[in-house]
Amino acid sequence: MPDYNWPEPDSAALVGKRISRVDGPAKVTGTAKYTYDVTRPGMLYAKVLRSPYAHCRIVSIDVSAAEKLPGVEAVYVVQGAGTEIHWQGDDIAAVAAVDEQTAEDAVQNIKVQYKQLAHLVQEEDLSKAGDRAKPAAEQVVGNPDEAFAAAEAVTVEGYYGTSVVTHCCLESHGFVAEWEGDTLTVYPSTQAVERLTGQFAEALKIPATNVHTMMQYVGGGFGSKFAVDRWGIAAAHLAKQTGKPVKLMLERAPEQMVAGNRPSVYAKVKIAAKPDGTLTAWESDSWSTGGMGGGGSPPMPYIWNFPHQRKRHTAVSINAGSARAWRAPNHPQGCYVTMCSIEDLAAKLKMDPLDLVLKNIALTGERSELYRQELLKAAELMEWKRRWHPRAQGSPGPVKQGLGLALHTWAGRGHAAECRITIHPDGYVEVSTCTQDIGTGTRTVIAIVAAETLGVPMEMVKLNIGDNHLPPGGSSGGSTTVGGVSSSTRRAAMDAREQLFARIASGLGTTAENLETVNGTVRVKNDPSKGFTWKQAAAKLGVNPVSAMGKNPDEAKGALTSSGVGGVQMADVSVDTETGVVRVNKMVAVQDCGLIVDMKTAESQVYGAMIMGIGYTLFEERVMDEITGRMLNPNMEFYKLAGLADTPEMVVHMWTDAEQQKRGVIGLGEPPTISPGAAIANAVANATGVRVPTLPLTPDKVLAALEKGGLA
Amino acid sequence: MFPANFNYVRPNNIREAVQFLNEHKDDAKVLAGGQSLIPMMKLRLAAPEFLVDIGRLPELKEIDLDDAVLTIGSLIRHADIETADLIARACPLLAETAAEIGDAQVRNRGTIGGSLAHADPSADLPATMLVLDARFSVAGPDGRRIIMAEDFFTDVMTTALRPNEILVSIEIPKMSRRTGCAYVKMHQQASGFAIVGVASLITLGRNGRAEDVRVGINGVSGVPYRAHAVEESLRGKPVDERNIAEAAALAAQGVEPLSDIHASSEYRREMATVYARRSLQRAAQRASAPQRH
Repeated sequence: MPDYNWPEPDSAALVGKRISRVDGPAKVTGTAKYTYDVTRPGMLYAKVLRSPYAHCRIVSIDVSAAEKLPGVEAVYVVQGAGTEIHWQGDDIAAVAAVDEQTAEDAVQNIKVQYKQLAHLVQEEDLSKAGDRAKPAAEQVVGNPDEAFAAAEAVTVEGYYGTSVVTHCCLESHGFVAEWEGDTLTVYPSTQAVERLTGQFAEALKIPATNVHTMMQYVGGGFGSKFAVDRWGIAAAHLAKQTGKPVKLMLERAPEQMVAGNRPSVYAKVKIAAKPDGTLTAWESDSWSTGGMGGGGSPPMPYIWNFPHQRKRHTAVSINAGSARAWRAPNHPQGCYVTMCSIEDLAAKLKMDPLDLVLKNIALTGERSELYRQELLKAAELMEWKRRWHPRAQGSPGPVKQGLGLALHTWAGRGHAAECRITIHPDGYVEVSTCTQDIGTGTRTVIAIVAAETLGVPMEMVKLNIGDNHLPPGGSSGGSTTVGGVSSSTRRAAMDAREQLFARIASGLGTTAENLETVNGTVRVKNDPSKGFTWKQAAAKLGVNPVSAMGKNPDEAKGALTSSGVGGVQMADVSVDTETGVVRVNKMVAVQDCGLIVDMKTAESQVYGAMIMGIGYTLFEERVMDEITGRMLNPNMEFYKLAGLADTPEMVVHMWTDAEQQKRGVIGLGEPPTISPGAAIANAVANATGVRVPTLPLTPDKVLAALEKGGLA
Repeated sequence: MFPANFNYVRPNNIREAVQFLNEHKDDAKVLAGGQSLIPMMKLRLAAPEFLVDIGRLPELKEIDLDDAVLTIGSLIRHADIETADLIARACPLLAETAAEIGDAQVRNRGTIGGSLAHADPSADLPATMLVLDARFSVAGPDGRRIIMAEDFFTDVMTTALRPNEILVSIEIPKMSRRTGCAYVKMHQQASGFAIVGVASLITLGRNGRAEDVRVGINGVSGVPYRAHAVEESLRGKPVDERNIAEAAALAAQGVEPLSDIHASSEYRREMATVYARRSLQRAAQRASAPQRH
């Protein structure tokens, strides 16, 4: 058996290099087919009638007029009379028709009688939540009372929060469903091609073997696309009723109302330190919502293990669309609350926050030395020490500049994944695994690992992904994909290589263990003159390809992935104190994530995360109307995402020392999205001298904070 | 996002178009660039029985400049206004305003007449029309009539145009020398609509004082308005920082600003002052500079 490991960095031909994504040309030229692009012969289009109310009961539903409309082929009632509806936009009935317009006309012809019920759609004012607020048990570490009461303690109190932000995948959620007898074929837009198989089987009460799921390209998931969803089941039922393929893709408004969001958090925080800045105590009263379910409980204090802590968290259940995992669930909220309160403490102590966090770095635990180095590197790239000034002591004039920082962490261990590699006698290599590339570069990473291991050009590697008939490759969530699929691919490729060696070694007058693959050749170690080109070697296989399975994890055969990454981000902002408009001038990210397979796609993850971070920090907010219970901005016209014009100078430094190389491949997609909120908000506080308590930092809130602080 | 069924009509000339509108009145809507009407139809906020497409009528696509007046056909697109040399020379304020509308896609399709007839309170062109003392030439069943810009915008998304009339062209009187103009805005971050947009015009007298001051404001109120208090405050005075700031403080005087999810009434009031000041400062600078704006 080979010794399963990653190549040494100096001997790697591809791993760790800057390689453009293999599906880039297909995506930019439009040949990549997303679920939205799928059309099937005779396909019908489905639209969904959705609840106009945040909380109501369906008294009656009459679909007869819709059914009679020419072009309508089926109506499927998702939630019928008597059902209690808990949020606006929930699915009530779905219609399949010959085209989208007819389907929409039909939806408008469904007559529903609702009985409206009392609703709660906002949670920031906890006093209005009543019995919708469910406090969890208090958690205490050490002796916080004593620590806060200590004579020397310097304390600071603050209020911090982040609003609910909605998922905004470029491609909305949806499915194409098609039956052939009792077998269902589904084309989903998903992060979990394989997991959906079981979900469809269970919901439709058919064997899992009768479900075929296939997807080649998905226009974003970010944590929101792991489920079949009510509308997916509706599409399958409509397809069954009509005997025709049915396509059901969400429109933008329901996409934002019902297809997932990030829970809010609001927190009253008190922290204490010694006069020299040594952090001693943390106390927080926090609450959040994730819709009816009540939302998550962000880790607080985030990464800083204060010796004394008291924490209370309350989940508030409201009548609005449910939360789903949103890129690094819970972490951005915890990071925001914690890092903002630490920055406020530094300001009170008249300390540079960089000095304060460095002083306390041991509280971050086993990562502390790496954090220290990353902080210093980020500071160098931001020229922090030269450019930082105490709060509100920047340049004169209405536009104020400031700096802020934050730290984050994530697990990211590779998930369970299997992979089959086949070396064909013509030298072409096939990699088969039911994973999906959600835009992170999974295809590219797999191709790099296979090509690196076999010493062939990436063009000779053919990938089969996105089909549940392939070996299981796992869902793409938790930043676990890259560790899982790179490990399973590496193992399969090494085993396949062994089999090839075994078949051709005698022809080279040696044994398998003396062979190696280098740059398109198979040759004898220590005697490079003896060897075959890759194609010659493969031809020796005759008519039968060799094939091997790789599996992650496989403890007996060593680990090619591990867990635990982190990073530091710093932001430089300008605030127009006359208008409250915030502009991010520059962001620096220093990030570690073990062994990097593709430097280019890794950096892209960090760039994208920072841009997404600017969005939720400055712009994004689900605005709910208390009176009607409706979302007021379920569209891209009034729900702002960061765009090119909002994108600052970004400096990304990936941490690639020998220590990281040894850790194997670890996920990266989520962690760099965690820090931007706190780093940017802290920079705004540094620029203006006032804390704008809640995200997003919209101009009116910035101006209100300045006025309250007597500075506008 | 699919409109209800409608009938599509394409008249051959203005007379036919007006005739059709006269027959169908409120059941018909005029289609120009479609940048507001089509989204409203897709959202089913509008469901006209007839769409009267005037998009191919050549007489609505002319730009003409004589000694006294710049005439712009109502179908001229924002992108053309933004880039046409003739407009840059004759009326740079109009070009500056057009460049602030929506995004490039909207400017490539949207028309000056369509935007003005739609009269969205957050649009950009209305304040500029007020400041320029524009005259709107309108065709109806009884022939042509002129509506002055200040009489045109009557209420939220409501104009003096009758259902059987078409806006044909916009006439802008030539500005005197030593005039400087500016349009500055705070845009809604996602849509680009004006939360506050301020057009201003300053003509300096021989003594260097403001002889003529005009300020038009979008976005703050349901109807674009001339900020007469600002104008009166600055008229006859040197256009220095202090006088401008003092005048700009009156930008929302007598107005009850809109309050919506994009900005509170209080915030709009404050921004009206900030942007009036910035607009007047720029206009004053341009009035004093050798290159006229």
